[in-house]
Amino acid sequence: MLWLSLYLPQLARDVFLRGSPQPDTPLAVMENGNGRQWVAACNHAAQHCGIAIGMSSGAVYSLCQQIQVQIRDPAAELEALRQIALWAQQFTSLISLSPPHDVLLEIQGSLMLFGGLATLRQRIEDGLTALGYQAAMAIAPTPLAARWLARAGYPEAVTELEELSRVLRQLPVTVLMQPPAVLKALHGIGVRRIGECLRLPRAELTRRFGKAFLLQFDQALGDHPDPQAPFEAPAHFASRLSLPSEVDNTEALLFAARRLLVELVGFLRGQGCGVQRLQLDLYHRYAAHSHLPIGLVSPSRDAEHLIGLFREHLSRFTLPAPVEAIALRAESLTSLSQHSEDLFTTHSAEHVDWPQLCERLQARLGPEAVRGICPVAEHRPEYAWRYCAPGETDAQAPGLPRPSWLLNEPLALRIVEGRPWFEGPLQLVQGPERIESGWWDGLDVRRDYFIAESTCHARYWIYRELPQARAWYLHGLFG
Amino acid sequence: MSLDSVLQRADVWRGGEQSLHRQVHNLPTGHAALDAQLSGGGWPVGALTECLLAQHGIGELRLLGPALARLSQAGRWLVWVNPPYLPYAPALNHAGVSLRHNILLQIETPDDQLWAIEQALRSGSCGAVLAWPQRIAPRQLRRLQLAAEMGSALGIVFRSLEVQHQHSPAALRLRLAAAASGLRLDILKCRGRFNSQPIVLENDHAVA
Repeated sequence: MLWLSLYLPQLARDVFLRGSPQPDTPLAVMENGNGRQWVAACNHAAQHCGIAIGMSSGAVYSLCQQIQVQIRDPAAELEALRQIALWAQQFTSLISLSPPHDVLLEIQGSLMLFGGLATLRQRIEDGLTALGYQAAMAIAPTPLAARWLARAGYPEAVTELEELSRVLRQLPVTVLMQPPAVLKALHGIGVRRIGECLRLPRAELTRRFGKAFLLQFDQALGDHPDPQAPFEAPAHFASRLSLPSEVDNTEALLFAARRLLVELVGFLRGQGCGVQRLQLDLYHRYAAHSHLPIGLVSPSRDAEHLIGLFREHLSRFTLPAPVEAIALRAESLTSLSQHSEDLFTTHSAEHVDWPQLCERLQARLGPEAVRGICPVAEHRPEYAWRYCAPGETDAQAPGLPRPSWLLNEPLALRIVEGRPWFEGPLQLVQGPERIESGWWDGLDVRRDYFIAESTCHARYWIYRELPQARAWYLHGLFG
Repeated sequence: MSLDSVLQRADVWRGGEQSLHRQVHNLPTGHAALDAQLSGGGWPVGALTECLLAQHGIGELRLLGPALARLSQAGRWLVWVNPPYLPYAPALNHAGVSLRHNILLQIETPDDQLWAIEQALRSGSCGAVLAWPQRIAPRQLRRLQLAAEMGSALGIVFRSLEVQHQHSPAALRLRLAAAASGLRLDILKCRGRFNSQPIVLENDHAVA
C-alpha cells in the first residue's frame, strides 16, 4: 500500500479565507479559553501588520484597525476535512480522516489510471489550490510515516520500506504528534531525531513513555499493522462556506460558489454521477435565507458549465441583504455511465422530449409567448385561423390559394395612377376571388381578393372593399 | 504510456461517450434543381442554414415548404421564432404542413430569442427551427450551429442581405431574391461543395 497524507495546518484560517477573492485582507481567527481570547491563526497580511499567534484581541485591534476577526469554528474545520475527503474520492476509493489536520489517501491502485505518481500528485495539488486550502503532502508506504513526513515537509515520495526506515531516522522528534511534556523529556535526554530514539533500548523507552510510544514507531516502519477507518461518503452532497466578510456582489459570490463547485465535481467524479438539480442557499445575517434552485437540461459534472449557470441565476437574482455564508446542495444524483451509446447512433442521450422543451420555453418566456396555430373553417381570411395551445389537434382548411404570411391588420395601400402601390406599382396577376361573409355577427366583409406582383417580383395578396371598390388593402404575402 | 494519456487521444473511442463521427443526414428540399447543387442532396440536418434576403414574402416559405411538410408529417416539431408576419394556417395546411406540430414563439429581447432558438435546436424533438433574430453575432451563430448538431435539427436563420460578406459558421448560406419567373437562389456557401450555379425556382400556380 502507498499512502498520501494531506496535512492542513492552516485549516482554522483556511475555512474562512477560502471564501474570499481577496486573500490580502488581514484576517485573524480567535480562540476562547481560560477567560481570554487569543489569536489561533492569521493570514500573511495580518502577520505583516505584526499580529502573531497567541496575541490577545486587544493587541490585535490596536495593531490593525481594519482586521477581520472570526471566532474559531472546530465544527467547520472537521466539515472541511470531510469535504476534502469527498472531493478526493475521485482519486481513490480508500480515504481516511485523522482530525484535526490530516486526510489520508491510499493511492497504490490509482497510479496506473492517473499516469504515475508525479501526475497524480500534481492533480491533487492543483485541486487543493482550487478548493482554497493550503496543504503539505507526503507519500509513504505506511499511513503514520506519511503523516510525519508531511509535517516535516519532506518533498520526495518514499515508496519502499527500506528507504522509509532510512528517511524516518533523519526526521526530528517534533513531528511525532506527542504532547509537549514528552517532547521536552526527549529533549532532556538529548534525543533530537527519530533515529536516536530508535537506538535506545525498547524496554527502557516503554518504561519511560508507555507502550503506545513504541507502537507508533513499529506502525510507522511497517512492523505492526496500522488499520485506518475508511471514510464513507454520504449519498447526497451538502457543503457550506462561511465568508470572511459580508458580500453583496455577484462576482464575490461566484468566487465562493466556485470553491463549492470544485468540491461537488470531485464528489460527483468519485460517485460516477452527474447532477440535474442543485440548490444554492444564501445566508443573510438579518434576513431569511435565499434559495436558488438551479436545474439542468441533462446531468452534468462540468465545473465550467455549472459556474456559467450560477452566473446566469445570480445575475437575475436580487440579493435581499448581504450574504455571510453560502451552501450548495445536490440531492438527486444521476448516474452518467448508464447511458452507453451505440457506435453508430446520431442522437445523443441528452435529448429532452417535447413536453419538457415546451415547459422550459413557457417557464422563461411566459405562456402567451409560446403558442400553436390552427385553421378555422371560416371564409373571412382573418378569422380562418386562431392561436391554440401547442400540439392541439388540427382541422383541415379548404385548398384555395392563400398566402403563407398574413398581416395582423390589413394595410391600406396608396393608389398611384389608379393602381395600388406597395414599394412600387402592383400588377394584378390572379383574381378576383370574392369573399362575402359574416353578416350574422356584424363583422361582415365583402371583398375582392387578388394576387398582385410588384416590380421586384414579390407576390402579395391584396383586396378591395366592395361595393365602392376604391381602397386597396394588403392582407398577405406569398412567402 | 499510461492509461490516462491513452484516454486523452482523439482516436480512442470509449463506449460511454458519443460517437465522434456523426452521420450527416440530408433532407431533400423537394426542389430537384436545388438538391442537385447541395452536398448530400438536400438541406443539411444537424446544421445551420442561413437564408439572406432583402425583403420578406418573396417565396422563402415556398422554398422550405416541402421539407417542413415532410418533417411535420413525421411528427417532428417546427418552431417559428419571431416570424415577421403570421404564418397563415390555411396556407401552411395547404402546403402539407401538419399544423399540430407547429409552435410559434414571439420573443422580445434578443437574449431570450437566442436562448429559445438554442434550446429548441438542442432538444432533439424539433425537426426544424425557423428563426428571424433581431441581431446575431458569428459567435452566437456558432453556438446555434453546435446546438443544431446536438439536436440533429434543421436550423434556419433568416437574415438581411447586409451580412452576406460576413463570416458565418453556418453549413449552408443561400441568397434569396425575387426574379421575374420565380425565386432566384445563390448558394454563397455550402459545406463540402463549391462552384455552385444560381438556381431559379419557378413560380407555380398553386402558390404557397
